[in-house]
Amino acid sequence: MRHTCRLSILTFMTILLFTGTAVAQSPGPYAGLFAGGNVPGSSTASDGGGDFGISFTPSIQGSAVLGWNLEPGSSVGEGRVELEYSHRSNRLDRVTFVEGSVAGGGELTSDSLLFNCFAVSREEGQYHPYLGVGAGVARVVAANLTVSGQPFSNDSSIVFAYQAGIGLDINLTDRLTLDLGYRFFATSPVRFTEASGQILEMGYASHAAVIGIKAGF
Amino acid sequence: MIKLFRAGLLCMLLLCGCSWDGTPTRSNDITPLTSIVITADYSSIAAKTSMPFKAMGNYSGEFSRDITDRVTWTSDTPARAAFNNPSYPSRISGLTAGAVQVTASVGTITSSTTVTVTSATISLVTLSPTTPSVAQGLSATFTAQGTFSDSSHQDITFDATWTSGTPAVATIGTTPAPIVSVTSKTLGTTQITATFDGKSDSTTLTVTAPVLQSIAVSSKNGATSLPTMSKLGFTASGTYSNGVVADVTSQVTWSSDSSTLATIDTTGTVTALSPGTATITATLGTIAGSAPLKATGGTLSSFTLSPATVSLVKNFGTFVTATGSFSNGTSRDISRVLSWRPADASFVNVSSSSINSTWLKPLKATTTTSGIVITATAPATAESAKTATTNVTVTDLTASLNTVTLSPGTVGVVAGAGSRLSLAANFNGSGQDVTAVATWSSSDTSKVTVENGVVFGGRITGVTAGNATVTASYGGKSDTSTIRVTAPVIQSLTISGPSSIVAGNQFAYSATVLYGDGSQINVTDLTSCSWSVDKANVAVLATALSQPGQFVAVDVGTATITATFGGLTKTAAITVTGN
Repeated sequence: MRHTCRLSILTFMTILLFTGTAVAQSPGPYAGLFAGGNVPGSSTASDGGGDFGISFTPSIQGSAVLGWNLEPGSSVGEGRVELEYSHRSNRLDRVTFVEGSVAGGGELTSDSLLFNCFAVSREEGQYHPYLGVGAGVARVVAANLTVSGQPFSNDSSIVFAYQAGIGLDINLTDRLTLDLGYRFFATSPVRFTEASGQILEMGYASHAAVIGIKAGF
Repeated sequence: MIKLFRAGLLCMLLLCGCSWDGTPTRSNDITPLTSIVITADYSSIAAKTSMPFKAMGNYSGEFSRDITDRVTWTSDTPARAAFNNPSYPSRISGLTAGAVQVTASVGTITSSTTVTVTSATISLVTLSPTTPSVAQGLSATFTAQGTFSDSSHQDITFDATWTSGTPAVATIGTTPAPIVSVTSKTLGTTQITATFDGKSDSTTLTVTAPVLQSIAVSSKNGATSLPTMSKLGFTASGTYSNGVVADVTSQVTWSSDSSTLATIDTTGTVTALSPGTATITATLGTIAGSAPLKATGGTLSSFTLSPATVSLVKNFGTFVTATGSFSNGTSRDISRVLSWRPADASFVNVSSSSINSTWLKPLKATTTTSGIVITATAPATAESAKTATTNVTVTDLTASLNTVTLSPGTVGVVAGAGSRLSLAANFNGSGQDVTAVATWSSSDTSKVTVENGVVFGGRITGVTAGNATVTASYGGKSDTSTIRVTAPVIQSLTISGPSSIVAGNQFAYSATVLYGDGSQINVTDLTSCSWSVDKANVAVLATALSQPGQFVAVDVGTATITATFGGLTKTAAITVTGN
């Protein structure tokens, strides 16, 4: 995970070197689309039999945002607020029991709707670093999860979700902004019913590096 | 904004570290069992013997697990060899010669192997070990190997019959592999015999003296905290292999893992030096036990002696006390941990005692007006040792003793309570308190008792109503005091003192009795008034002997102080706070 963060930061620095002259970002509404790669964190899971580990494979994710750039010098602060829908889907990779790790299967999908608040540095120039947090809900689906090919869980759960984000807005024109960011996304414990009838409880979190384009209107 | 950005970046990096690295506790019951592997020590066994099988389950090639106890074991010819011991379902017993197919099954997964029962008969039983010995209270294990008529060898430990010739010394256990459990409290020997099908082997088991198994270390008052510059005794209890627990305090070697926090002497007495937690260890041979000790109350900054200068008449002693000031703003008596050194020991004898004072006894007259310097040195901490001095001048007036005066001349006390008398000597007009060295007696100890000694000399206690005369003598001179004892009914007992104190401070409580005649008497330091505190980790008695009603706050917490007098008990809560 640390490697992912370093890679993201390195990407930002590289773009900083090759971008052009300053363009002011316009206040008002905007819409955007994001894509990126996410790496779910290995998490602990538990059921009536005890604790065990679950890991998922990295995957791509997509997001759409609808937001509002606040006026520079706004009384509520400089930045933006937005509503973000994201979709993530990761394959169950390994499940670790007392006897060791075995192969998993099936997809763990999450669709989240978050309200984000980002503080943006509006200083002169083309590059505007930002950071912020968001909260909302997520529907997490265990789609035909298997362990060693055996049915494990096929269920869904709606849970509280939150994220923290950091990144860099690069103003391409006065209405078009390139967004390079990192997102840490997590939910409250997710509960699924296992094929055996036991209740599975697991944590869900992911790290993502995203790139997006936002258009003001 | 830049600072905010950096803080956010730091949070992100921290969040990146969140992942599961725990130890799983759940067994995998999801991955299906795909095959079973049967193993055994022998491919053939002699009739009348038995052999256990083991089954390893292969789970889809992902992992394997011992499932011996999960499988169902069957023999295709039970009359030849059978799993006929319900207590050991995986053990097959050979009955008659011939081959049998053994099957292990879990649901639809099965595995089979063949075992042959031979008609070989036992030729020799060999028992091991050959010269066993075991400490009293411990167990020894034995095995028996069988040599059969077909020259085959087989472990017959399970199938042999085991006996102990002297069950009072050792008895045979009932576990699957025979274990000889020593149950006797006496040492000795016993003959251990394994018999199989008419053949047997024996060996002599010697039960030796019990050996130390563990050591438990604890303080004498049960406390795990101790104010700095004070002492506390530790004890070591050894548990032996025969279950006996014995005090091994004087046999162990004592050590502290931090000589700057606490030291311990060969008798197990700890001196706390600086705040922190040290581990006190007692070692005897290869066995060791330890206990933590938390030193509280700050680091000693300085200390003073009282009195700083003292003039004494030869043979009349006095007490000197030391009060320490600590880095946390507290102060308390530290007399017991100091080492004392007079500049010239021929003039003054210095003797430390178990109480919080040091007794100076002048031996001969000093020759200079400045007298003799006595230096008290505190134990060294991480810093250099602190010192303080007192000057003592001694005059020899023995030959000029004129009179002694006992005061007060008449005293009224109530039964169960008491008072103090003092004796002053006059040496050609120079007065000297000789209470501590005088000889005290009562004309009627059924009415009044009086104590002797440097600490409580002159202390009287009323016993029953009536009058008695107390006489104090010194140097051939004596004086008397009349003691009138009354016996009013005790109405109530009250105690007073602080309810809150900072750890490391010394504090005082007093006890007062109200009698039926309206009189009130302070009984704090009477022999008949006892003081206690219930939590030694919170507060302890300064010294029950010389400072009744005095306590030292040890560590944060709440304790209950109890005073008992005349059958009445009164308690008060003391809360010790940090600083």
